[in-house]
Amino acid sequence: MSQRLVILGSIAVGALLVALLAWNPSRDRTRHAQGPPLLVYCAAGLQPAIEPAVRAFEAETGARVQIQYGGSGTLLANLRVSRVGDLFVAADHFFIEIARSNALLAEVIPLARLTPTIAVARGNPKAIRSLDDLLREDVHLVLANPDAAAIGRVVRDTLLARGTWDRFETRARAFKPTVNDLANDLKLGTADAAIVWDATVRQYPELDAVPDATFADAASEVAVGVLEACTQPAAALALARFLAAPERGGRHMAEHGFAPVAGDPWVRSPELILFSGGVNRVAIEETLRAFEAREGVGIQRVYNGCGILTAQIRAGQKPDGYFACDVSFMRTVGDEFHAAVELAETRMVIATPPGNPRGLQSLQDLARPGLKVGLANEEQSALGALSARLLRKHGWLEAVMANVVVQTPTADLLVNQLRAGGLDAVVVYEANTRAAGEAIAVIPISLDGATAIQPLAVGRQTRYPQLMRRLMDTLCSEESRRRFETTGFRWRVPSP
Amino acid sequence: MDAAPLSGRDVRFYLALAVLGSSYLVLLAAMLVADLFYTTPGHLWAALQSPEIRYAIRLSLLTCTLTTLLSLWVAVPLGYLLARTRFPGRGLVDLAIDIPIVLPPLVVGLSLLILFQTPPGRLIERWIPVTYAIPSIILAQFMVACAFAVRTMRTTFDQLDPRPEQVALTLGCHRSQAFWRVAFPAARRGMLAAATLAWARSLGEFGPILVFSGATRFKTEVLSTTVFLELSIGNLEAAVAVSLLMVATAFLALFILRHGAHESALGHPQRS
Repeated sequence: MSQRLVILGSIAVGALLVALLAWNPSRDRTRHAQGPPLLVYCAAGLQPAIEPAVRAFEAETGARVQIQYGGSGTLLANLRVSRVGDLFVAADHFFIEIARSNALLAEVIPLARLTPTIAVARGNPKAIRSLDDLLREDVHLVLANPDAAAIGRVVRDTLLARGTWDRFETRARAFKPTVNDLANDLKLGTADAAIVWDATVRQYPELDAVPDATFADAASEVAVGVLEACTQPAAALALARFLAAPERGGRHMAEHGFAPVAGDPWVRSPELILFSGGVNRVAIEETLRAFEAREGVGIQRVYNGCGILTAQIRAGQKPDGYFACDVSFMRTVGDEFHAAVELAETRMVIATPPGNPRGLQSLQDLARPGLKVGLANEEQSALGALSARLLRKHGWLEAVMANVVVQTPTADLLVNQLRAGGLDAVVVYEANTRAAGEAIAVIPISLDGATAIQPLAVGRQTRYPQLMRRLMDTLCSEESRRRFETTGFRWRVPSP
Repeated sequence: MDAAPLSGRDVRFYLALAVLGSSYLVLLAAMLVADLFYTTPGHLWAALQSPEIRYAIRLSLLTCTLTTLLSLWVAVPLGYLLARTRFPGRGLVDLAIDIPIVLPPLVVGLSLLILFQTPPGRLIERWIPVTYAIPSIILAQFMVACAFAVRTMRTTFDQLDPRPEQVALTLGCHRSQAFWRVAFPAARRGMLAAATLAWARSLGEFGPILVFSGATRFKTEVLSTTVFLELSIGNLEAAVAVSLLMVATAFLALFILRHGAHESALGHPQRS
């Protein structure tokens, strides 16, 4: 046999095979799209719901998406090693928690709610009516492995609380790694009963559910997580929002037996409205810009004195979120918002020209004759209200007001006027003075009640509760904390 | 078997052998029949009509064939070296070849995944995307299939009489000429056996592909991962239909290979 013929022939065959592999008609169809495709790790059992939703997303946005299916646990192991990819759609929350504990996920968006139920073959041939019937001698019971599947863990925890887990564990004929393995056993007739998710029963026409109140309060959820390794967060989050939107991904989830959660409506680039007290601007602006870039959304900021902002809210404005200068203002519009989170606090100070030429030491000194003092407006701003309350409490209000030559809705205006040379002293927040640096002198006010606490709350009527929740999480993050602390605030959010 | 009439004792002996041997075949046939009864022509037709499954068939056939070719490129020289030469570490090499055979398939996939996250692996990925791409399928198949091919080729060369090669050397051939003109043609049947084994192993490969290549539709989905995906959503009928397609494909391919082996063997009888 010719040596040359063998070598060249095999190389030619190899090259032909490589060429055929490189030619991928389905890939050619989508080659016109720009940018690398999004890589989604998806639990294989969710494929019927996720696949059409993702294809609809591609058609609507022109994005390209590759979905990698597998068992949630296998996918998790893969992405722990490879550290590539954009989204992880987990069959249940169990895997999301593992991914989070391994620092693999940034944002998590719930998609559907799952509740355990007893499943039997269609027609219930073994006449199983309750959980206790599963312990009968003539019933072949299969359960999910509590260490491998969320359904297994939820069932074990519920039954442990009832003190009956040992009996079920002994009676179980087998423990399976996934909920679909349980359903397949019932479908094939290998088992008579299993405890599976309600959605699983709806996906298998060969199965019936047996209602039992035991698991009514035990639930898990299907969720999509954005990976820390994600290189296209705006596109990935857009797909995640699409999957969670009731009229988009939610519709496909419902068609395949899942109970979708109430996600935000689908808008390609949603616009949030955030009302914020002026003092907070320096601390949150960078975080808001980063959030906009990451999420691919817009945030319309309305910075103003809190008195003006709360008046607007009472007049009918419905911001998606409100970040007040002080809790006292949040209380006045509390009905419009969900429970607030106290993010930070800042002290009130007296600011003077450099070197403190008038030798001011306390709030009382502002009553000295001949001083030109600036205060925030009591009606229009939290700072003004706090300043007036403090002065009133100590009986200095009238004397100080005699020296007040200007009242503004925000503290920034006071600082600017001080720096322009028009004033001898102003009462502002410590956070207002950081940007001025050496251009002004700062005298602390060591009195009770001289601290403002900044609460953040999500509007009850926001169209985008999930998006606002993520904004809130971002503003409560460690990165945000650093920005608050470098701009003169003290952090109040408890460590997780 | 000689032509002498069989005694009653002989008949009982052959009967016992046939019964024991056929128990396996009966089980195999029963499985396939059970599968056939579980599916319908409609499911098989639907599977063949599905673009995803057609892509998986095409990808499976191409990757298995390329893997087989690559396995032979490695197995023939390595098998020959192990059979004909003595070198330091030969025993270790012989042992190492069996590692992919005894390793759990998932471990092979995980090890490949980890390998391509190391600096050299990442360097390769910069030029040729491997992980979660088609090359990863070939690599995952190759890691296991090649071990079987090497083992087969080593046995083949072990069983070939070295004398014809020695004669060729005495007649003025150098070592490479003796290999190409004597050993290589004589090993053709073994090569076809190795190719058959490598191809069949590649087609059935699942664990390493799932871990190292993922199961991305229209990208890295091969027939074995199709079965897994259909099973994951409780579509047992489609899973069985694809399984039967795999059986038919494998049967056809093996038949062609065996037929080729038989034809080629006619012209090149081997000593053993």
